[in-house]
Amino acid sequence: MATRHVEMVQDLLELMGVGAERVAVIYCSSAEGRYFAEVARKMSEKLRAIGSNPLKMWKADELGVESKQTSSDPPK
Amino acid sequence: MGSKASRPQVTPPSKAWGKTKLLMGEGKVVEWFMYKGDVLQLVRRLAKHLIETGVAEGIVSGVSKEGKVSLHIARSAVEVDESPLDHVLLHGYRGLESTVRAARERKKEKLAVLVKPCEARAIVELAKRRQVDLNLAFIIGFDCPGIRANSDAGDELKEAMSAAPSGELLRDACRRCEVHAPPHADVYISLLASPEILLVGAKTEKGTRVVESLRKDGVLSDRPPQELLLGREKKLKLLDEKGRETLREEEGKLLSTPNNERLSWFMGQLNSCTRCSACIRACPLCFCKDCVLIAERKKYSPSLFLVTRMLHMADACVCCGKCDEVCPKSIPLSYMFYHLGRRFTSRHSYLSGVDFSKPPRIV
Repeated sequence: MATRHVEMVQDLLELMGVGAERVAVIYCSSAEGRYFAEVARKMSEKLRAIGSNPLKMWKADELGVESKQTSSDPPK
Repeated sequence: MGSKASRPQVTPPSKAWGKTKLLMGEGKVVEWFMYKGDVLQLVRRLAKHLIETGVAEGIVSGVSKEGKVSLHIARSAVEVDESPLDHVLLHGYRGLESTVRAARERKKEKLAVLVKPCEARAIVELAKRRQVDLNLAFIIGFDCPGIRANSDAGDELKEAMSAAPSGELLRDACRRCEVHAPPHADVYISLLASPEILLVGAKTEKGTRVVESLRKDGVLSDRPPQELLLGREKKLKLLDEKGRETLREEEGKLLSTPNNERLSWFMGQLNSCTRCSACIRACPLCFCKDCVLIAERKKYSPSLFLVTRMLHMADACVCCGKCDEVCPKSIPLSYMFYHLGRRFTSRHSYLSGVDFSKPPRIV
């Protein structure tokens, strides 16, 4: 179910022109600390390459909720 | 919800998602009869019959007061005669809500509702989510080529629902409509085939009984000529194809604009939202009793209000265009909702409101 929700978010971001690649679901067990670290690093590298979140432009004059919900920072 | 094995037709999705496919135009064909005369007369006759025989306790209708139509459930023959059923079918009551809502909010009562295909789809979606009991509701579905953009209450039902107006005249939501025949109904009424002869049909057991007794009373005549039926099918196919075409075109146009332009357009639209929640009240599918968005609307930023709503129910959107009508800021809501919804659902080979065998993708 959660993956479908994220899929929907991806669709919305894609339609809005933010880019679906800013959100991802990754399966990771609690025992796989190293894997998690690697995935997080990869994701942040990817995002750094894409550039900053275009939604930030709209964040300034709004309530905090917005930035929390739509920010697409890497997991962690 | 009785589990009678001998009734393959319309047992609503009870425990397992039923195996019955209810895609209109495919599979089992409705048995059609003819009626020569005025639609309104036929609907009134039908409604009276339903009330007399006790199939329905009332028919969802309206009363007009000072030019505005508000919800009223006609429970007797006299009330049926007085009620502006044509207006209710075309515009809903009070210009705000649809007949579907009435069926949803009074789901313990046996009510008959007049629906357009989009509303029929909404009922199917609601039935999947157990918000409408199909054993109680009696659905009278109409074929619909699309409603004109600024058709006022004076418009004749017949005119609005039989002629296929050219694309520019249609409401925004109707232009990208993919389903022009109700996917589920107890009694079907089609004005598409020809302006003089109405086609009346039934697919469910309940509907068949009603149509059968109407035929015995001499209201309906037998077997319409084959070319009428074929003509209807052809017209429907053409309309569906046209809707899909528009949908594809629009999506192509949207996706071909550069990202930053698209974003600024979206954010501009979303930020102009006033969080008035008119769209939530008008939506036939928003059935949550305690909507977070209404209860805590002050906490949401304008853009997030719509985004939350979209992510919550865009997959069920049937593109009825009610939200477009009520939005005080005229944000193209159905455009956003349906495009997002179709993007998501087409990947899951799902189309909202046409098939009982497929469970909703997001619950």
